[in-house]
Amino acid sequence: MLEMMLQGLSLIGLEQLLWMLVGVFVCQVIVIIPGLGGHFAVLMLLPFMYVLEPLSAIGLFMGASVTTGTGNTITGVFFGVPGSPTGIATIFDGFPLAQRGEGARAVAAGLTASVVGGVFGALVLGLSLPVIRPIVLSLSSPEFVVLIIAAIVSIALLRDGEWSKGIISGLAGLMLSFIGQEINTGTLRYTFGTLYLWDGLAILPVFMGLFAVAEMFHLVKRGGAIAKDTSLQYDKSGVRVGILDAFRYWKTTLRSSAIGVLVGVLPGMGGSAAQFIAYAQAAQLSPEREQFGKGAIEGVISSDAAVNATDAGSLVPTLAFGIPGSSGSAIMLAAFLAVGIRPGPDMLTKHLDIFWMIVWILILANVIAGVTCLLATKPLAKLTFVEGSLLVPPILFLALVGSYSSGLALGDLVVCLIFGFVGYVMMMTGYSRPNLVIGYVLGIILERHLFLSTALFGLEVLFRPAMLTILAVLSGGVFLAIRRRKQNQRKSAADALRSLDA
Amino acid sequence: MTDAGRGGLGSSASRDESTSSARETGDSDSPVAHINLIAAVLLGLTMFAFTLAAVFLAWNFRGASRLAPLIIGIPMLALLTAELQKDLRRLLAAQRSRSANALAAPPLKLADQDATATTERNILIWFVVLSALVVFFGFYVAIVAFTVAFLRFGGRHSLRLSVIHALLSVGSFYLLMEVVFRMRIFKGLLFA
Repeated sequence: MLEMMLQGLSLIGLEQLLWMLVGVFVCQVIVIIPGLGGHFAVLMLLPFMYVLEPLSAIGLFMGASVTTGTGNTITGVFFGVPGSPTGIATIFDGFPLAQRGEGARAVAAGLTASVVGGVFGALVLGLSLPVIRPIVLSLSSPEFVVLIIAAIVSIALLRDGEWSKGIISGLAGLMLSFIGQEINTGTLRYTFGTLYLWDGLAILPVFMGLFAVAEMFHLVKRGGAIAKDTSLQYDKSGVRVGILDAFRYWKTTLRSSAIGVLVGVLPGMGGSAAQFIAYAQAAQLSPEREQFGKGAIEGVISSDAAVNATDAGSLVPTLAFGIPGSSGSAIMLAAFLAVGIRPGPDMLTKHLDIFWMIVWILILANVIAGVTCLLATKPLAKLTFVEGSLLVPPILFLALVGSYSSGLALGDLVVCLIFGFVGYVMMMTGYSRPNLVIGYVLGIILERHLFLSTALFGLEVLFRPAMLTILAVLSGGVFLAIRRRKQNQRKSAADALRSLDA
Repeated sequence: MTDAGRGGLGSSASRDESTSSARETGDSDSPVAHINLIAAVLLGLTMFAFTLAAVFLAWNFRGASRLAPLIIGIPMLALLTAELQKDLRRLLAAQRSRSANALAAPPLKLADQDATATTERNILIWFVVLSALVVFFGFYVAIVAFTVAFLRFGGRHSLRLSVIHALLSVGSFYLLMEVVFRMRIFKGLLFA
């Protein structure tokens, strides 16, 4: 293992390091603009991966994707506005701290906790390899079929909102992936005589349309700049205190990081859930619990540490099984496939050096992102004043140009525009875009394993112990999730009645 | 631009959910929820039609190649039927409630409904304009024309700022895409 670790480190040359820095920097700038979110930044970098050498492309992409949660702290603390939903819990205590004139301390504590959380997650990812590897290698096609279906169902159930719409979106993604020439028999499906559709719908235009184009039209609807207040109190002397706070409350930092990793491993949960779970446990266990919500530094530390650790945790199922648990990891999977690397058992056998390279980049990118954010807090915070309408045209065109340049086909452009419209309508209606892209990415893998399962095992496939175990766990999970939903519905109905009575 | 439909911040996933949960709370009387409900029914119907066609076509595929579309498509049709039924029921209930309240509705609420519909219509218009410009005239013309029009009429910015923004954008795109990354830029159907 040590040899592979060093091999992974040796893959990071100056070029990869520079591209990683570009990724970190671009992501920090975009993530700070409320409403755009970190995954949006990552998505905008996807087209450039096609023109880079694979290892540099991984550097660029990983640098951006592992730091999606870092910049959130700044706007959350100073303006009470999160860059993305993963920064909401930071506001609870960060904003009151800023109002007391301790903004710099809160930002420094949050960013340091982010770095610790990210590094902790990377270490867990690396150290979990000896445990995960034999499990992954013992699974065969039938188990992967069930795991893929389990991922789609559980993501729909674990997220808030209507689970049936979530599952439909996942299935729609799977159906879309069947367009084109079928890999096992060569049959042309749903191509309608169009040459463009022989290879299926390209991933990049679909992703760009669903997220980038749709997001921009949502921004048009929302309009305006996010932060109106142009005053920004930043007392540099609080920075040192804040950094030390993250270590002074080391138990909170480490516990929240561990929670983040665990939540990240579960499909469909993500940083949005992790921050609240970590915040709640910090509030329960802290001796200063009465300060939570009024400006407790532990509140900022717990949520920020959890968010970055979640990103690393979500890499466990993505890299080991090739099954993404969130839209962010689905984008990551698409990026790896674009440069010819297939996460899953292949990565744990043939590309173990790349696995370790990713772990190292995870550590480096987290540290660099934390430091750059800390150094550039004030200028980054000012990005929040940018009027939304000024951002719409350049970002829209970046998405469209990126979609076109991946295949140089007019069809890619049309697909991007169509999915932009579909994505916008999905945002309005509660259908889940993350589930759709996860289904789309997993469709080809599902079909390959389905073909192998039926060809190799026939009906015996239904009696394989590993598959039955996964099915039993899935059924249990579904049962618990449905029960939890019903309990929540009953509780909200009772609350509504009580408020009416009052 | 209006503030109608202001749905809070957040990334894609969360916004997908927040819209949904807003509808789950039964607030279908609000203009935004009502338009969302209509959109949900239309999207559901479109997906149902496409899936039905996909399943029907899949019967004619050879052996293994029809397995996956049928295994996924048939349950999807069942789920879509249930979902459409649910959304249609909600929509009809909302329509009835709106008709009953129409006379009693304060003028402000009616104005809200108009504003919401106008916002959605404007977005649709911008979308069609963007698509037509890019497909027919290519990126360079589209960037300039769309940026100026959007900033001037959509963002209510000055003409000077709009033109400067458009020229800077087109220059940056040329430098980044064609010079630095050597990517080819689509020139449009009319100039191809």
